[in-house]
Order: sequence, then structure tokens, then C-alpha cells
Amino acid sequence: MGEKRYSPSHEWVTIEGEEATIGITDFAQSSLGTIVFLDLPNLGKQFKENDIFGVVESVKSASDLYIPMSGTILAINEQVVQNPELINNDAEGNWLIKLTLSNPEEFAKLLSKEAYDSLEK
Amino acid sequence: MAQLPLHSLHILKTSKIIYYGGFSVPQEFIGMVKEHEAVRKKTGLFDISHMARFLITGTDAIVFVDRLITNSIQAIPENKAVYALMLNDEGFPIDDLIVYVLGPKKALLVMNAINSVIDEAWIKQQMSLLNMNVTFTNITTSMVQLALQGPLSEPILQSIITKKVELSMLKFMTFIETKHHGQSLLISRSGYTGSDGFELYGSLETMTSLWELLAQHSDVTLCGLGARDTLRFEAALPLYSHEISETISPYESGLSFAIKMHKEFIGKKALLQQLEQPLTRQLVGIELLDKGVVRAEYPVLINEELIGHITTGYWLPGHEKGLALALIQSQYANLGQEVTVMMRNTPLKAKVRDMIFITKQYKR
Repeated sequence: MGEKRYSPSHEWVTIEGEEATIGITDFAQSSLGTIVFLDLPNLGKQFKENDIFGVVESVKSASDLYIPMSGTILAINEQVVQNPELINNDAEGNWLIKLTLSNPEEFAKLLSKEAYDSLEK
Repeated sequence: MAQLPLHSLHILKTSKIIYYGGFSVPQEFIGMVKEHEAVRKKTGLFDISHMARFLITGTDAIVFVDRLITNSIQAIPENKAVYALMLNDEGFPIDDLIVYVLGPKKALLVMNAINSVIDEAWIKQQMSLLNMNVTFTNITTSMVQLALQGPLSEPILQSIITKKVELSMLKFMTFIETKHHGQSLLISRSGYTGSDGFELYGSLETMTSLWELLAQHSDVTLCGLGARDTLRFEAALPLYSHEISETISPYESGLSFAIKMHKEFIGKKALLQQLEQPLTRQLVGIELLDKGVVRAEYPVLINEELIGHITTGYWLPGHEKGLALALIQSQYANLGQEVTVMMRNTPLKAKVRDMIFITKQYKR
């Protein structure tokens, strides 16, 4: 797997060819607290970058998930849908969705780890 | 934004501070779920100094407060803490409160932070309308209010206060005025979590010492406003602006136990009129049959017809399903009634249930 990049709305992305794997950052899971439910889109659904693609519910609140790149839903991680606490245990190691990219060049616009870590949060 | 008197101590323990009722208040320390569980299994310590505290003194103090509220504080046992509503002239709650009668000419009112400005204005207006010989003092910022909640709170508190006070003698909703290192301390066996516990009132100096002793105790977990809300919800205790408001009648909120019709109080005439009408809405428990979490304001439907809304909802550990309180049309308030709750654009199947999500553990 290649380089991991980040969005200011706290999602991470890795890409392999035209396929992207997307999750939320450790900062996001830590701010949310205990995650209890994930509302993720159906396979085949199309999104443009920065669209809301789902919702993550913690005990505290419901938070929108923003898609960092444009594309079509290829897979959702059923394992984390069944056990959302996996995200709390390891947010960077458990993906939420896979995407067939419509514009792989968008990857270059995302933040490096250093740039993401230095964001004012 | 005002800080709590113990703010400097809190920020050593957490950075998760939110703005609530005019104050910066800790939202959580080690996490809402862990704090919630600590209160149920051991004991949690909350700083609830953001709550409004008003002292009413003077010859007419007790008569005046009795007129102001729906419950009776006259001819009650000494040292009884009284839960009540303060109604407007239309018979709807301006706020709910706890009253401590501290003497024949002195009462302490503890009210919601979010309503403190409106409460103060209303009380002063009634003082002048009723021409009562009373003095109003807002002591919110000169007093600290802590809540120690959970099954171990009695032995923990007993170990740090004077032996002259026997906490085992103190029953739910009673209080005692004592001293801690020579300074006044009010101990009330009460709280808003559904667990056994105490609320403590005193000066900054007294309470700093108490907070430090309690916070370092190995069985005490520091808790924030987040867990306070999940706990009161799990115990189905109503919260102003959710289950109680100026647009929900006290009967719809199920608060008739706090209304004493044998006495006079502001709003009574309007309540008598409310009682002549059948109850059209009612607070109920909701249990989700589909997976999801429902929150305040989500619509509740039957066959696509709107019948009410969620007032508070959570997914809480140990329940394995989404739970909520909802205000719905009375005709549908039957146990087992299937309803639909709209979670954003997703309809979720749910059913009406009782509001006993847990058994309250009060010391009676």
C-alpha cells in the first residue's frame, strides 16, 4: 500500500491505481469517543469529493463523514459496521469504504501526515 | 465566558471543556462511557457549580417560595429537600428546581444554569407583585456544588468528613448542614444520575479541600457533563429543554408527583384548566428494533403520520440497542406499539416501552 494522505475533515486515504481505501483518523475517533454505529452508503453509489458519504455515531453525537476523493463505492467494511468499536481500537488500521476513483489526481491535493498533524484542531 | 470556581483544578485533568449555561464546564475526563460505568459500579465526582443557586431570605421567605413552586415546603419534615416546578401564569414550567429550607426565614433554590437569567427575573418580578418581605441573593458564583454519585459514595464521603455526621442516617432527598474544618458544608443525599449519592454545597475554600480529597481517592472517577446526561437519561430523569419546557405541560412530562393541588401557587389556575382537558401528549420510552441511534428532535411516525418527537436518545453500553425518551400523542402511548423514528433520511423500526431503562438505586 502506498502513501497515506489526510483530509482536513479527519479522513485518511490510501490509493492503489484507481482504487482508494478510506477511514477516519485517530484524532477523529478520539474526539468522537466511543463509536456505537456507522451509517455507510450502498455499493455503487457515486460521490464527488467533500460530499457527505455517511455518518458516524458516538455515544456523544452524530458526525458527518466527508469523502476526500470523488468516486463510486466499491466496498464497505462489514466488520467495522458490525463492531464499530474497532475504529476506537485502531482507527488508522480499520478502513470504512473502498472507492473506484473517478479522478485519482485529487490525491495530490490531500495533506501529508506532517501537514495533517500540524493542523489546528 | 465564566469559569467555574474550580476551573484551574479541572484543566489539569482534562482539555475537553464545553460552554454550557454561561460557564466553561468539563465535558469529559476519561471518556463518557467509562465515567458512566464508574458511577454505576463505583463512584463519580461531578462539579455542578454551573447550576444556579439563589438564596431567599426574610420574614416571608418560606411563604414566598411556597407560592412560587408547585410542591409544598410548608409543614414538611425538617431537612427534606424538595423537587418542584416553577410555573408561569399559563401553567407551564419556567424551570424545575430543588428547594432546601434552611431556616424559618431562609431557603436555597437550586435551578438550571440555562434558565438562570430568566429564573432570576421571574422571581424578582413575583417578589414585587406579591409585595413580599424577602431578599433575593444570587449566590451561584460564590458557592461550589459537587455531586458524588455511585454505590460507594457513602463510605467514601464518610471517610473524609466529620464523624459527627452519620451519613447512613441520611435518606434520599434529605440534607444536613455541618462543618468541614470549621466552615459550612451542606450535604444532601440527592443527585441526578439514578444512583445513590450526595450533593455537596460550600465555599470555594471548603470545596477545594473536599474536591482534592475525593479526586485522589482510588475508587472515585472524575466525571463531566457528558456522563451526567447519559446517566440522567438512563434513569429517565427529565431535563429542562428536552423533557420539560415552556411548551410541554407538566402533566405531559409526567411530573404530577411534584404538584400539590391543596396549596396555592403561581400557575395553579391554569393547571386546573389543563386538567379539564384530556392529556393529548405523553412522555414514553422508545426502544429501537433496527440498529441505529436516535437523538433529540427526530420525528416519530406511525404509517407516515407524525405522532411526536424524540426528546433525548442514546446508545448506551449494556443495553445493546438504541433507547430514547419521546413525547408522543397519548392515543399511541401503549407498551409495544410499533412506531418509526426517522434517523436523518433512514426510517428505523422502534417500539414504545416503559421508561425503566434501569432500576434507580436510591437510599430510602
